[in-house]
Amino acid sequence: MRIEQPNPNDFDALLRAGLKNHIINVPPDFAQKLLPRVQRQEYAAALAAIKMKERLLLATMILLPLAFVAVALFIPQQVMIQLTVSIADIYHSFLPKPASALRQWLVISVAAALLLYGLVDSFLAEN
Amino acid sequence: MEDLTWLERLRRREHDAFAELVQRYQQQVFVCCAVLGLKAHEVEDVASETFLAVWKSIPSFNAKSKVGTWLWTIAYHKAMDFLRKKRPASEGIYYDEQVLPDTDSSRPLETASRDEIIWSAVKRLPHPWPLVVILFYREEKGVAEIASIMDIPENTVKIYLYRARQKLKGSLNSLWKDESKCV
Repeated sequence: MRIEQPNPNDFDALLRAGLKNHIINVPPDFAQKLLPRVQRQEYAAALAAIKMKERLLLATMILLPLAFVAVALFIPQQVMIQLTVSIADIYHSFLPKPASALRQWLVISVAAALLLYGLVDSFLAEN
Repeated sequence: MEDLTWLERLRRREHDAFAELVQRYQQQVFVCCAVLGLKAHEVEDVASETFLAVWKSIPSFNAKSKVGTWLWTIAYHKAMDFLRKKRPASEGIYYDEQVLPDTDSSRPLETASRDEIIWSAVKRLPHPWPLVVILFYREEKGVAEIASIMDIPENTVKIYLYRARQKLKGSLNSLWKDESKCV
C-alpha cells in the first residue's frame, strides 16, 4: 500500500493520508471460507426451486380435476348442453362413425384433461 | 470504468470472479464495519453476510453505479441491521477494532502512530459521522454518492462533514501543531 505523505499545514490532507494509510486486519483465509458458504447458498436455492415446482405440480394435479368437477356441477344446464353439442360436433367432424353422447363426452373430457395436464407439466419442467 | 468482462463473469456466477470481488473489496467492507463500531469478530461475520448478499443480488445489479459504491451500500445496511438487532439502544455504539501490526519497515514509526491517532479520533466521533468522514476522505466519494450510500439527504451529509471536521480539528489540534513544528 502506498503511504501518503501529507502537507502538515493542510488539515484535510493530514486527515486524508491518515485514513488512507490505516489498514484493517483481514483474515488471510477470509475469501476461502466464503466460497463453501456460497456453494451452500446455491445448493439451498436450487433445492428450494425444485420443491416449489413439486408443490406447483401437486397443486395442479389436485386442482385440475377439482376444477373440472366444479365446472360440471355448477355450469348452467343450457350452457352445458350447448357446450357438449359443440364439442360433439367437432368430434363428429373428425369421426366417420357416430358414437353415443356419453361416450363422446367422456372421451373429449379425458382428452382435454390430458392435454391440459401435459401443457402444465411441460411448462413446469421447462421453468 | 468497471471491468466489464469481470462483471459478466460475476453475472454468470463464476466462483473465480467472486473470489476476485472479495479480494478487491474486503478491505473496504472491513473498514465500513469497523468504523461503525463493530467488534473484531463481528466485523468478520457482517463482512461475510455482506459478500453473501452481494452474491445473491448480483443478477439485479444494473451497473448504473460502481461496484464499490454498491458494496458500500450493502455493507453499511448490513452493519446497521446487525447493530440494531444485537445492541440495545441504550448501549450505544461500541468501538473496538483489531489493528494490523505495522510490518512495513520502510514506514516511519511517527507516520504509523500519527495514522492510528487519526483513525482513533475518527472512530470516537458520534455515529454516523465516522462513516461520512471515511467515505469522504479515505474513499474520496462525493457528497451525492455518500448520501446515496447512507440513504440520507445531501445537506445532512454536508452538515455531518462540517461538524465532524470541526470536532476532529479540536481533538487532533495538538498532533497538527506538532507536525507543523517539525517542518
